[in-house]
Amino acid sequence: MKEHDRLQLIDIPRINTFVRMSREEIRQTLLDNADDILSREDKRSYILFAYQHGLAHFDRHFDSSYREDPDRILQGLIDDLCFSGPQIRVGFWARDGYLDHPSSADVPTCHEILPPWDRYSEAWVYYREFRVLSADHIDIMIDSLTKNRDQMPTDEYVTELLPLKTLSSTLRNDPVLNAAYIYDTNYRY
Amino acid sequence: MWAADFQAAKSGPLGVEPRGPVFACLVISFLGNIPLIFMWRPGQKGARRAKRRPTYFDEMFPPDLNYSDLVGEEIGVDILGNDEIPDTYWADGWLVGFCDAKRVKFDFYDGHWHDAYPTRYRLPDFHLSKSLRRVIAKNADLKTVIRPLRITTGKEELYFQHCMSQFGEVPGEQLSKRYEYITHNASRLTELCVFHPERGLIAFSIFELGAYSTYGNVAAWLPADRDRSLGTFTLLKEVEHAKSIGHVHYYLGHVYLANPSYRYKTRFPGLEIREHDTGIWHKFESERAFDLLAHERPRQMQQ
Repeated sequence: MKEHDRLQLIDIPRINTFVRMSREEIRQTLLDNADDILSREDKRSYILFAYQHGLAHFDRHFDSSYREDPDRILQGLIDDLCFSGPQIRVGFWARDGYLDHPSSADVPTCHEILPPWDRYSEAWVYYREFRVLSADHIDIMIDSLTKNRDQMPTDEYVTELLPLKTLSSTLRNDPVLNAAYIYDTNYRY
Repeated sequence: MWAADFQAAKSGPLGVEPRGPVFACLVISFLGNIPLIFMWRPGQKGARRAKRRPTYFDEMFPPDLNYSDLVGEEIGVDILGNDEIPDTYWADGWLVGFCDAKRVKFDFYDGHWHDAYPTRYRLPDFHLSKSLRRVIAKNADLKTVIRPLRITTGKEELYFQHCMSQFGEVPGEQLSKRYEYITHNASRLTELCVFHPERGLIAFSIFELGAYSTYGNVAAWLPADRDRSLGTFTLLKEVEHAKSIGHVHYYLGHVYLANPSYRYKTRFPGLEIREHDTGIWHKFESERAFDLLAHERPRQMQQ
């Protein structure tokens, strides 16, 4: 298995809000969260690097970037602010249990949640291919992992199991949140 | 392994060559009355080769034949590195792998080599006939999902069962080996899974999405569900998906009518076959396609 699929918390209502935002609202949201996003190691809103050189500089770059590729800016904002928490690696047996289960056919896809990106936009190249899972799906992964614990080293089993259990309890405590199963992809077209 | 078998098949004539008469015989007697007899007879090198029955590969690769001329062509490709798209290779009849591309020109079936033609369907002309609509209606109770390909144990087991029932042999290669570099593939490797509400996964197919065309790779279904025509069902679902994302062609390997396993490909509308010599795609209804397929000549490769 050479694919590194991940699980991460996702806020679907927030995505729906972002998708409906106007140009000015996107700009304001970027500025409101600039310090938070810039402090992160992994960020997608590259436009905020211009903010470090002053508001006028940022506005100039934002205008040209938005005119050129508005989808890219929106997609960066969604990636930075609608996904939260650590990315959890999905091992073979956890993945196996979920993907072979009939309930995996009913999950909402990113194509239903995100707007259709323009084919010539960078958003089309860099968007995350994900499925939206509930706590029940995470429990299916945990069951599969437990069932096949003899197939893997004990330390690996524990390393995979604990984050999944934490994720499952987080989802059950906060009904607004879901888990995004993020596929490791290398799409270009 | 094939190259080794090919060399083994080319290694010489079969059967036992005639032996010459005994030229000399030396009898040494010692240790009382126990004789030791040494015999020598002249003959060519290898004259005493044991008799061997012709094998499948003897028929497949007669002596003095070049493997690459027989089966097709193979080239190395770097589609991602050269900023290309796989669709252009598919349109030229190539099967594109992770770092190579093969163009199959002939296939071996029933003791003969046959011309094999790449196939594709024109998706704007792909309209469902009554029988195809019936297949979809028959499987309306099943759940289908299209998503990025991931090999699971459920798919491996299903594929194994499918190969055993359809072809009477184990798969030549495990799916996990065949699709080892999913994320490095030039095309988007995609899966279609078919779930029964109670029995879970009963069929799946694997296909590739290019920039403007789709390539069908593998389909497998449970032998117990043969009546559902799940091979046709998965193909129709793939075509439906390809049309929904604006693709114009659907490729489906190669075809020749001598092999009944390939004849199902002629059941679908909008079929085209590619002539190797000219590189032209002919409509299946055209006279030229009829010539190529109907007057297909088994190749007698014995020289």
